[in-house]
Order: sequence, then C-alpha cells, then structure tokens
Amino acid sequence: MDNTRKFKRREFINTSLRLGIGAGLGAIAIGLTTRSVEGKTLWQLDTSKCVQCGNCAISCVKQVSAVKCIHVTDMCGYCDLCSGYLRSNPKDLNTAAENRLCPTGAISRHFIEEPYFEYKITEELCNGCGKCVKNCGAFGNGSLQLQIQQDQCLNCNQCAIARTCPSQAFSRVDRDSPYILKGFESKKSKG
Amino acid sequence: MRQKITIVFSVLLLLLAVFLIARDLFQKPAALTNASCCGDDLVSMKQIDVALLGYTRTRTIETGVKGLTGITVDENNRIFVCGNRQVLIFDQSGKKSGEFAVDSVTSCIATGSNEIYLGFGSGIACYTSAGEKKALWKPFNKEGLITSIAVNKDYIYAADAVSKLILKYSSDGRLAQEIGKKDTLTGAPGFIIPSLYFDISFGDFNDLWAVNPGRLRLENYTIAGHYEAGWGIATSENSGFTGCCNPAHFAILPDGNFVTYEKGVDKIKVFDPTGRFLCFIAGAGSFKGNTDLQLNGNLVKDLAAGSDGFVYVLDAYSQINIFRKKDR
Amino acid sequence: MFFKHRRIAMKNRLQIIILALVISLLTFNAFSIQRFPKPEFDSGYKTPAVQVSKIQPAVFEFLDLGLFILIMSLVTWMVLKKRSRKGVFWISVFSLLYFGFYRNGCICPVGSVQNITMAIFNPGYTIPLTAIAFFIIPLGFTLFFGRTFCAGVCPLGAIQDLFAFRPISLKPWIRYLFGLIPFIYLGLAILYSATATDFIICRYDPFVGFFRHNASSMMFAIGGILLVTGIFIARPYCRFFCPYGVLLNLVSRVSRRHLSIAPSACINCRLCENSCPYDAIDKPTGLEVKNDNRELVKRLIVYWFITPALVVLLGWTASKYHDSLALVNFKVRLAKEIMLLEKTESNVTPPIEVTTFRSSGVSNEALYSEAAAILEKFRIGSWILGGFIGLVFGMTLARLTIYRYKNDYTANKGLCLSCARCVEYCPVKEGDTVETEVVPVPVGLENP
Ligand code: SF4
Ligand code: SF4
Ligand code: SF4
Ligand code: SF4
Repeated sequence: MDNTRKFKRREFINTSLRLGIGAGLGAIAIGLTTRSVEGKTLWQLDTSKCVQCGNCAISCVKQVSAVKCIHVTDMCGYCDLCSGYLRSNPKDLNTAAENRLCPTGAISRHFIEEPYFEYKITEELCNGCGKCVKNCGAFGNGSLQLQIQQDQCLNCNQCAIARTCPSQAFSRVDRDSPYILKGFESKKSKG
Repeated sequence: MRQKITIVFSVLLLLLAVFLIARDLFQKPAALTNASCCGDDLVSMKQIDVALLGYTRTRTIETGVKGLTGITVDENNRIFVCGNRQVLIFDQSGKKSGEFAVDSVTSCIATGSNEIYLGFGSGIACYTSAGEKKALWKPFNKEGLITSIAVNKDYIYAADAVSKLILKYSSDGRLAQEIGKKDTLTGAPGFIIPSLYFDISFGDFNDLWAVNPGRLRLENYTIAGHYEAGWGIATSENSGFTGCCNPAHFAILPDGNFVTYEKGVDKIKVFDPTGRFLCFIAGAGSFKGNTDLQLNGNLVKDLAAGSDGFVYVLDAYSQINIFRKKDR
Repeated sequence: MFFKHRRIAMKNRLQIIILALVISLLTFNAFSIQRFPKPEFDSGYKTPAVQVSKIQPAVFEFLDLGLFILIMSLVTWMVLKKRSRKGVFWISVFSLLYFGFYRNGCICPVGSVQNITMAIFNPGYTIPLTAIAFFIIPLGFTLFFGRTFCAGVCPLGAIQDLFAFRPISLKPWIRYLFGLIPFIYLGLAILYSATATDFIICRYDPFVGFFRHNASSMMFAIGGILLVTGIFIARPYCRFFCPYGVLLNLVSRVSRRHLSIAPSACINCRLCENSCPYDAIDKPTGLEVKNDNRELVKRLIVYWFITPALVVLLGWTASKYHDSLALVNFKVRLAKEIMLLEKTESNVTPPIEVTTFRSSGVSNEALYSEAAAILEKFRIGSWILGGFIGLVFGMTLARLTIYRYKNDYTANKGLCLSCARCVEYCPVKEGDTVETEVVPVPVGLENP
C-alpha cells in the first residue's frame, strides 16, 4: 500500500519532469529555428584583413592546409618579374628553382607574349603558407590571395586557424558567398 | 593485485589526458614568429644602410586628415595635399594656410600658375587656388584613372594608368595628344602598368619623364611626346628598382636628380639623371618606427620636390615629412 | 523578421558578387569603380577564370539528418524491442564507419551543445538548422527511450566500445570523483561558447583525428590514451569526459521507457551482476542497510546545508580566476599583450597580432573596453560555473547517502548506455503475464 503510493508519486514526478524537459527542448528548438540558416555556414578568411603570417599553413586540422593560394587572374599584371613567383632578391633573373619563392614549387609560369607571363597555382602542392601572397601584395597587384578552398575544408565546427589567426580574418560565411576575395583598392589606402 | 595495478595505471592515464587538455587550453599560444619567415624576408629587404642616408628630416606636419593621396609644392613652396574630397594648403612652417572641399575623391594634384589641377578619378578638375571650381574636363576613358598630373605653361599632362597613356591637354581642356603608345618605328616601348601606379614629372630640359613601372624604368619624352631614352634596372640592390612595378612615385629635384619611391620595400632613393644611385632619403623605419617594417602597406602616398631642393613626402599616417639634404 | 530581411538582401548581393567573383572589385575605399589596368594581349589570350571550388549543396546535410534519425530509430528498436546486443553492435559499427570515418565526425550532437549556447547568447550568430536538429533529436529520444544514442549512433562511443576488451569495475569513489569532470567540462564549454571564445569540445574531440586520419600529435596522443585506457575502463570518454553525456544522463533518468535487463520479473540470479562494462547496474539493497536510516537522514540534512555553502565557495573561487579563464579569448589576450607593451615600451618587435592590430586603425581604448566587456561576462560566467560545480558536488555527496530500498537488478537509467550487453546474461524469458512497463522499480531522480 505504502509502496504503491510511493511509486505513484515518483511516477508523477518523473512524468512532470519529462514534460518539463520536453517543453524546454521544444522551446529551444523553436526559438532558435527562427534565426537559423538552412545549411551549415562555411569558414572563410577575409583577404583584406590577412597579413600572411604563415599560420594558415600550420594551424589547419588537416596536415596540408585547406587554405590555398587563389590566383585572382583578373587582377594579375602578368608581370615578367612576378614577385610572387620569383624570390625578391634572385641571384639571376631566371626561373631556376633557387630563384623561386614558393617552397613547394606550386606556382608555374607560362609565356603568353612579350612581355607577359601567366602564373598558375597547382593546388595539390600549395600549403597555404602565403609567401607568394605576401610578396604579390607588397610589390604586385595582390592578385594572389589566400582563401579556404571549400572542397578541401572539413568545415570544422570551430575552425582551428580562426582561433589563432592574428588578424582575426576568419568568419562564418553564408554558403552563397563562400569566398571573400579582395578588391584592388583596399590595399592602396591602408594606413 | 594485477587488477589493482591496471586500475591505477588506467586512472593515471586518464589524469594525464585531463592534464594535457587543461594545459593546452590554458597555456599561452606559441607566438607566431612568422613576421620575417614568410615574405621571403620582406622585413630584411626593407632595411636600409643608414650610412647611405643623404637627407635628414627637418619637419613633420600633421595634416590631421585621413586618406590623403597626393602632394605637390608650388614655386612659392606652398604645400598642397589632396585626397578624401578636400585640398589642404600648408606653408613651410607647417601652418595651414588654406583648405577647401571638392566634389570628388581626388587621386592626385598639380599646380599651375593660378590653378590647381586635380585628378578626379577618370577626369580632371581645375580649381582656382581659392577653391573655386573652374572646369571639369570630360574623361578620356570613363574607366580610366588619373594618377599623376604635370603642368607647364602651355599644356597639362595627365597620366592615365588604365589607358596606359599620358594625355596632353591644352589649358582649355582640349585633348591635344596621346603620348606613350607602343611604336616599333620610333622605338617607343609602350607603358606596362600592372598596378595603378603611373607617375610623370617635368625634367630640367623642358622634357617629360614618366615611370614605365612594368619595366622598372624611368623614361624620357619630349614635350611633343617623342620617346627619347630611359634608365633603370630590375634589382633588389640599391642601383635599381625591385618588385614587379616600381618606382611608384618620383619627383625631380632642381639639380636634376631623381627622387624615387619604391612600394613594397618602402625605400626613397636619389638617383642622378643618368640613373646612378646616390643616396637614400628614407626607409620604412623612418616613418613611425620599427613596426613599419612588418606592415604590408605602402607607407608613402606621394612625394614632391620643392624649388628649394627639399623633398616633401606624404605618408600613410597623414603626415607630411620634409627632408633636407645633409650638409657634408 | 528584420533579420530575415537583411539576410535575404545580403544573400542577393552576395550572389551577385559570387557571379562576378572578382570582376566586382567594387568600392573599397578611395575610388568607386574598379579601374584595374588589365594588360592588352595581342595574341588573343583570354584571362582564365578564378579557380575556386564549388560548394556541396545543403541537401546532403539533410540526407545525413534523415539517415541519423533512421539509425536512431533502428537502434532504439533493437534495444527496446528486439533486445539484441548483436543488432546494436552492428549498427554501432555502421555509425562508426559512416558518421565517423566517412562523414568525419562533424557536426556531432556532442559539439552541437556549443552551437546552441552560442546561438542563445550571441544573436548575431546564425545557427545551422542541422545543428539544432542534432542537438534536439538524441535528447528527445533519450527522454522517451533512454540513451540509445550512446548505444549505437554516436561514433565516439562506437570506437571506444570496440576497444572495451577487459573492462574492470571501478571503485565507486573513483567513479563519483571522475564523474565530476564532465560537469566541469560542460560548464567550461558553455562558458567559452557563450562568450564566443572557442568551441573547446570540438577542439579536444579525441577521436575526430582518427576519423580524419589527420590531427595534431597532441590530439592523437589524447585519443590514443583514451583508447588504451578504454581497454580496461570501458568508454572512458563517454563516462568521464563527454559533456553531452551529462545532459543525456540527466534526461535519461526520467525517460519514459528504458532498457530493462530482465524482460519480465528479475529472479535475482546475479548472472548479470558483472556483465555491465560501465558499472551501470544497480544491485538490490540488502535489508540490513535499512536499519541505519536515521543516521543517513542526519547526514543528508548536513549535506543539504553544505551544498549552498559549496555553491558560494566554489563560485567565489572560480570568479577569482575569471581573468585566467578569459585569457583563452583572443581579444582579451590581445588587450593584455598591448597593455603590457605600452607599459614597457621598448625596442622589442611586438608579436604579429599586435602589429596587425595597430595597423588596423582601431584605438587601444576601443579594444580595452571591448575586452573589459568580455571580462565582465567571464566574471559572471565563472561565478555561475563555480556555483554549478559546487551544486553538482553537493548533490553527489547527498546522492551517496540517499538510501532506497530495491530488490532486483536494474540498469541505472542515468548511467546505462543501453548497449544491451547485460540482456544476454539474463536467463529470464519474456514473461506472459507481467508487463515490462510496470515491473521495473521506477528509479527516481535522486537515485544514482
Ligand atoms: S592566419 Fe590569418 S593572417 Fe595568418 S595567413 Fe592565415 S588568414 Fe592570414
Ligand atoms: S608560396 Fe605558399 S601560398 Fe604561395 S603557392 Fe606556394 S605554398 Fe601556396
Ligand atoms: S575549418 Fe577546419 S579544415 Fe577548414 S580551414 Fe579551418 S581548420 Fe582547416
Ligand atoms: S536482471 Fe536478469 S540476470 Fe540480472 S539478476 Fe535479474 S534475472 Fe538475473
């Protein structure tokens, strides 16, 4: 007799708690759904903030970073003396390996016509170190830019590079605009 | 007994995991010491040999206005700076002697005998020195960008970095000539302008000098637009210009020497008229100090030479730096 | 409403930008039109397109979600209706392969706690719909059926389960002591995600490195340690780390149904006594303990008084360390670095984040006040965190003393991971008269 009463009471407490928790979960779900986005957001870095610290190459959870150098060809000057391709103090002005800036040899050069050359990035080789980006930005047009190549990115819940990026260039972006490439003028009026 | 050891061992391992996580979370992240690792030693490239500094700074004028883009000095050594929809005039002592607003964002400035010419994006505007707008000339190329203007008593020369041409205008705004097309007959090389830097200036012999940035050279034209000669080599040594398109700005001193500014390495150098390196005026560290070396911006926005032989440098910190030749 | 609007407007604009990708190097500062001097090629060469990869459509995430729900239902059915360890096992292997190795273990419900917290405290953060779903669905299932998610869906659990070769029973005090870690972990995770500092659960996800074949050596080390320990202490992450497990544990205690070891009345044969690798089977209490009831009540009263004191004490202690806690936050750290540098201005080259900040044009004061605001959040947060830990501590003490008479073997609803191992040991067959829903003694909240 006493026991069954106890059971009833506990049963009742449990049921009310269950209802309470259920209602709480429902409230969270509904409350947050109103300002949710359908798909996952994606990580991207803002090229106009990036200072090419080299962190992108080492902090990504992938051994070979998902951040790659993207060549914004429309901005390229097609320079013979490409500062992203050649070391800035080459011994001779030729394309021997020791004169090339990219440590992994990811940039290749193709002659188009006097005096223009086209530069291409071999994505599998690029590790996102940003050396070329830095020099292209300093001397050239800044047509080489670091971006998370979205098919490489695992889209971590919290990007490991974002946490350590000294210029806080990373943000979650809408999947409609997965790349943030820099406009040319942004560099000119820095300072 | 063995079970006990296993338990103790496992528990210790768990504690180790806790410790590792806690340490990683609360330890200060390793400092990124990549400042010089990356840009192929951009920082060391910016360093200059101070023994070769031939000029000293005599004055720094705080303009107090952000986003300035152009500077010029007239015959009376009044300093004009433009940018951000305004023109400011300073005298030698650094006192502001005038100021007026203009209708557009300006890219460059030049003074004539009574007028001030401003690059208004693709067009050119003419103002009186009191700040009254006299004329706005139709752009040669709507998509163009005037990056430099030089004025003599007959004509106004404007460098259009997008059209890759020097445009010669009469004083009433009529386009008189397009200078600088590639021409295999006359040997004119044509301008290669990979980025929006294209500076021109008058030389001492009633001639016109222009940067051919893609070739890292300075080129000489007659005022009628004939290509004459040029100098400049691509090198990271002092004797020439580095990068893919330099010098970004230049000015010609009364004694005929050239003052050049190279973007990227932020060096201001002096060359003699034949292209021989003479001395430095400033390096990246000359503006606000050490931290400048790590920045990837261009510290010098424009420069000008006065008839007194002083060099006027507009920097990215909205300051006008006046440099004077050191006494030997 | 307003948000929606702005987002749609933004979407359109961004779409245009994407189309034009780089052609639209519009208006940054000085000039309003892009006037880039493109070279003119005589040879008719055309500038190639920018090589950026396409995005996987969001549909795949919803397919994943669908599969997730399917597997959840399947495993729940296996546990409650089929009562088949084998079934649960193979489903968990599938989950490990699919959600773990194939989908790289992300987003998982464990990490979604942070997305939820972040969304609650930071209105600017738009949370993906799937993150909400992944958070809610396992909890919902648990509310009705117990922790079936842990049994066969969670890839983190599955990988550990494979390693539980020689589980050893742990002393209760070790279990209770280590059982505090998940609460602390959860508290910290909430603190850091509420302040938009970091997602530490993801950062220290021990097995995701194995799933991706890619991680820092530190994370491999931690994952390795947990797997090795897992041979003897089964599922160490689930029991002594997992923050989501805390929520599942609490919710599961009031679950409507739950795995029962015996399909009908327990006959106290003790065959299942050592079958649970997670020490989650509650044994029947002997009658003799009941005699001590007075003493226990006295102790219980003492603990009821101690608990508030613990809450205040630990809250105060934690708040003393709130600035150390806050140093994980980038802004706070930067502000501190700059403050230090300003004080001892010398010729040392400042670290790159300082240089970058200085060139950004934001004033020190703006940064300081922002950091101060974050610090204040941490101060309040660490009070709550400390208080919460104190509460859990007190409750654990009190819980140890509560005595409830019970006369059979049942799975502890909070701790049981519904792996259905014990079921195989029970000789009782499905009874015909006794209904499973009534027979197991309902275990109240207070019972561990
Ligand atoms: S970590 Fe930030 S600043 Fe450094 S290279 Fe990557 S995006 Fe650029
Ligand atoms: S220099 Fe670095 S960023 Fe540039 S292509 Fe090579 S690896 Fe990639
Ligand atoms: S989200 Fe993950 S995979 Fe992508 S760039 Fe960041 S750390 Fe690398
Ligand atoms: S639950 Fe089953 S195996 Fe365990 S004691 Fe009861 S009857 Fe025996």
